[in-house]
Formats: sequence, structure tokens, C-alpha cells
Amino acid sequence: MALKDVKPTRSELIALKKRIALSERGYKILKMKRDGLIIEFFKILEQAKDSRGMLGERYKKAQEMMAVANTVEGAIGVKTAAFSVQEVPDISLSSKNIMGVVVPEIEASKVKKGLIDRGYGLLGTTSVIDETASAFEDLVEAIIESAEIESTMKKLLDEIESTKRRVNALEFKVIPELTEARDFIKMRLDEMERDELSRLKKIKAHSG
Amino acid sequence: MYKFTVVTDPDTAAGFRLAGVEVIEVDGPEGARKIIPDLLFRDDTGIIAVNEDYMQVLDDKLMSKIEKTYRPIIIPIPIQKRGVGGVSYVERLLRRAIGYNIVLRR
Repeated sequence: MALKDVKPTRSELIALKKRIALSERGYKILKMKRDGLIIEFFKILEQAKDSRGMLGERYKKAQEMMAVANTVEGAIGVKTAAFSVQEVPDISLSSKNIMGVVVPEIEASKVKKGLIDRGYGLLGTTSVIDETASAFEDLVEAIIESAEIESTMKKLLDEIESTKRRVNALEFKVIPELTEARDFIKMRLDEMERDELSRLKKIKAHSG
Repeated sequence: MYKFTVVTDPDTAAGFRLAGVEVIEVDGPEGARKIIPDLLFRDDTGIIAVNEDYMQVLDDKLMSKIEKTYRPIIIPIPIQKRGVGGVSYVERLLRRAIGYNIVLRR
């Protein structure tokens, strides 16, 4: 609100005072929300660190198993077994609420499979294939877990960002402008009062 | 019910197939760059896992789109490979939102 748009009237002053009070209350609440979100975020960050570490380890292990399988069975053998796997892991997404932020909750079923459910012939392959498959199943599990954590983080970060922006807008833009307008009106009203007073005195001196 | 899709190199692809997930083989980051934008529009996919080094060649516009979409969730698989340094994608998000550069270490 630019200063020249402000009408120096008493009712405007009252309205402004109300708006300032409201903005300040909103500012306080938003600030608390921001801090709360950040605390929540750091909790998730801890989990994210763990899950990323686990993901890295499992990836390495899966990669190693893959190399072994390729050596033992040959690349073709591994691929043959791979293409005969029928069971597909199912993922369902639901949501939960962290401080007003809706975050996804991922649930996966049929990631871990038993030997028989995998689909390739047990007699035609060695146990290396089984181990490789289970290593990759572990990896997929880890990916799903960290996908949940990471998308939670993403959502929280988004919310933190927009809350931060609002807090800053209130603190540095809205509230200062409102106070400035209020001070301006106060000054003008005082000025007008003094004007009026001196006019009265003058009239009185003139008539008396 | 959503599908789990992996975008990876041909070497690792067979492994993910063993785990029963859908795999899209690409040869190198270039291939990934071509295929990922299409994947973003697929409605039946819940999670897309992409090799981390493939994520790094995506341009900023696509990255910001990935950061904004919530389904499918795109997640980089951390690959220990030499020469793949740089700021990881979570750290980039962090720096933007909090204003501090937080290094995830473990």
C-alpha cells in the first residue's frame, strides 16, 4: 500500500490498526509453523541419511552378485532367467499428514518372493541366480523405502519454502508498510488537530 | 496399484528383471534423457528409479519438473562410480529451501 493511497481519516486508522494486529498474529503463527516444519524435516533427514546409505550398500551388493551370476551362468543364462520372472511387485500409494502437509506413504507388496514364485526353472539354474534375485529384491525394497522418504522430504521442503516466503513477506513487507501507513495517518490527524486548534484561537482572538 | 519402473544400463537391467520390476534399458545418459520426459506422463507408474549419473545430465527445466511432480516419484539410485561427483539432487533441494548447504554424510 503506497502512502499516497492512504486517506488520513480516523476510521482508516482503526482499520489499519486491526490489520496490523492480524498480520502480526499471522506472522507469529506462520513463524511457528515454519520452525515446526524444519524440526520435522530434520527428523526425516536423519532417516534419509540412513536409507541412502542402505541403498548404496545394497546397490553395491546387487552389482557384485550380478557380476558373479554373469560369470557362473553367462550373460545369456542370467537374461533367460530374468525374462521368465512373472511376479510383478505392486505399489500402493496412500497419504499421511505431517503438520498440514500431505505426504505419500508407499506400500509395496510382493517385492520379496519365495524361490518357487520367481518363475524361472529351479533345476536349470544355480543358486547364484537365486541370490542375485534376492539381492535385487532387497535393492528394490530399499529404493521404495527411500522413495517414500525422499518424496516426503520434497513435500516438506516445498512447504518450508512457501511458509518461509510468507513469513518474510509479512515481516519485511506487509507489516512495515502497514505501520508506516498508520504512523502517517497519526501524524496527519495530529497535524489536523493542531490546525484546528490554532484556527480556533485565531477566530477567538479576532472576535474577542 | 502402481508399477515400479527402473531406467538403467543393460548390465544392471537383468538384475532388476530378476526382481520382477519393469526395466527400461538405456545406453548411457543420452538415452535416459530421451526417455524420462515420456515416463513422467505415464499414469500407471508409481516410482521410477533412475541411475544417479543419468539424472545429472537432465536439463534444469526437466529437473524442476521432476522436483514438482509427486507421482511418479523419480528417485536416483546412488551408484558408486568414480567421476560422478557434484551436488546430489537432495542437497540441491535442501539448499533452495533452507538456504543452507547441508551435506549428507554417512
